[in-house]
Amino acid sequence: MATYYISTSGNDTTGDGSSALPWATIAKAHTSATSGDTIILKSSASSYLFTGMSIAKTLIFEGESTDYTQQVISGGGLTAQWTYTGAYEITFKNIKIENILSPTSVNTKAIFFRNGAGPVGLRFINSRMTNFTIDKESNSGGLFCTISASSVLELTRSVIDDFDQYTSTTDSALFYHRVGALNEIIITDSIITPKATGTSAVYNVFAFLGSTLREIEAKNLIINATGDAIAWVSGTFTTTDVTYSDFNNVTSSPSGTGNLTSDPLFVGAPAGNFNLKSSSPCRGAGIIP
Amino acid sequence: MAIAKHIVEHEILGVQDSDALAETFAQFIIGTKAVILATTHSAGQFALATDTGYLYFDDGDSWHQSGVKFVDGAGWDMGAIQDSSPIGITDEYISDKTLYDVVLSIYNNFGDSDTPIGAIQYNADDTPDSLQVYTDLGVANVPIDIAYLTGDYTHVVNNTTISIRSGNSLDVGLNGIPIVQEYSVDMGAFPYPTSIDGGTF
Repeated sequence: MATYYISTSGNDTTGDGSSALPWATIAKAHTSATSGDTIILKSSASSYLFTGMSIAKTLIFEGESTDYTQQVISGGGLTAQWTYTGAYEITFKNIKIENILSPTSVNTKAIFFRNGAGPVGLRFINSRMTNFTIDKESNSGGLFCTISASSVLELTRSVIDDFDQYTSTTDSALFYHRVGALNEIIITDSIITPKATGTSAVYNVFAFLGSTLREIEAKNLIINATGDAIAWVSGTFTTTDVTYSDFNNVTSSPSGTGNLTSDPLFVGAPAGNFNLKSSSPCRGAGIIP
Repeated sequence: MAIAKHIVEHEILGVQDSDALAETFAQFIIGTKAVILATTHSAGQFALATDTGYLYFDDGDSWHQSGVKFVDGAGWDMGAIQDSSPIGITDEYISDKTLYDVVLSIYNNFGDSDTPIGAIQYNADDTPDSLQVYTDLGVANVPIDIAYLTGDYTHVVNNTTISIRSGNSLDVGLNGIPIVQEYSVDMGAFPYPTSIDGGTF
């Protein structure tokens, strides 16, 4: 497994993907790498561009610095989608991804999308996915949507925040899975907090339709809906192991050891400050992951 | 007298041994296990089972099987004292053997069915596996997966590596603060920094 480098000051033509001569774009790295490779995003004050891409490899995109704010991938407020072409996994580590609109074309409305055999995977580790808008159509859409594919979604020490939907749809979901053999979700030490808007509020965190197995394991998760409530799930999980987590204004939140339904008391959530206040009920209320 | 009788029977009279007969030298029997167990009891008898390799002792009422098999002496030194290639079991050591379900301890009472204090076991039924010592307070877990890391020791708890000295995890949240601090965990991705109470002025 190889490691390649990209930099906002790199060059797709003259670069060779090394640390000394990095490429410039994610697309170039994806084209040049093979499955299992790691793409290092060099730290930069500028952003990398999130554009539409067909995912044909399992890749890890890792920020050079452990400070995720130093490696930003931005959609520039434009519509973009990463479409899985087969059984692949994408991992974002130490990266901030922001300002993306999901597509509005019929039957393909998710930002990360797979319609076909799997399994496919989407992982966020020490990362933040923020300021994005999703759409919903014919039981699809959302941030991560799979149709007919088994999938794994993993959030580890990550934040998904400041998201809403285009129109008022009462069965939209952040994560949509339809007709897969196994949809597995693992969340640890993470935060999900939608935008506090009215009719544009995303309706569900998870939605399933026709999936055979739907399993979730979560610890130290905070879901905080400061405006309209968000529902935990449309459909049901076959296995739920959610503990030591806080669900503020979440409809039908899961029961489990150590779970709370309290305001987590972030220092300044609207401004993206998810540090806990000293009086937060979430302090000391977690479990070693 | 039994020895003399045997000499007469085998060297003078030419009596042939058979698999069905057990040879008797005084009180030592060599034969199959079935033959040994069928022999009339007489306290002090010893026997070697040719099919199983175990030694047996007769207390007059029943046969007691040794826990150790008689080992073929191929490759052993001549004479009574073995002082080379110590592979196997002697009264001073066990080597080149795999031990299963063995209790390492000192029994308070021989044959006591209770777990003896000081017993050590590896428990694969726990998640994760654990090394346990039995004390007078019951079973106690012994920390494993301890590693040395630049002036400190760490161990693994629930797949999370934690400093033994500080109780802090190596993994940090999005604010750079350890996810685990002094073995305490906050929910979310931004741990609250542990406060040090400086008292009052």
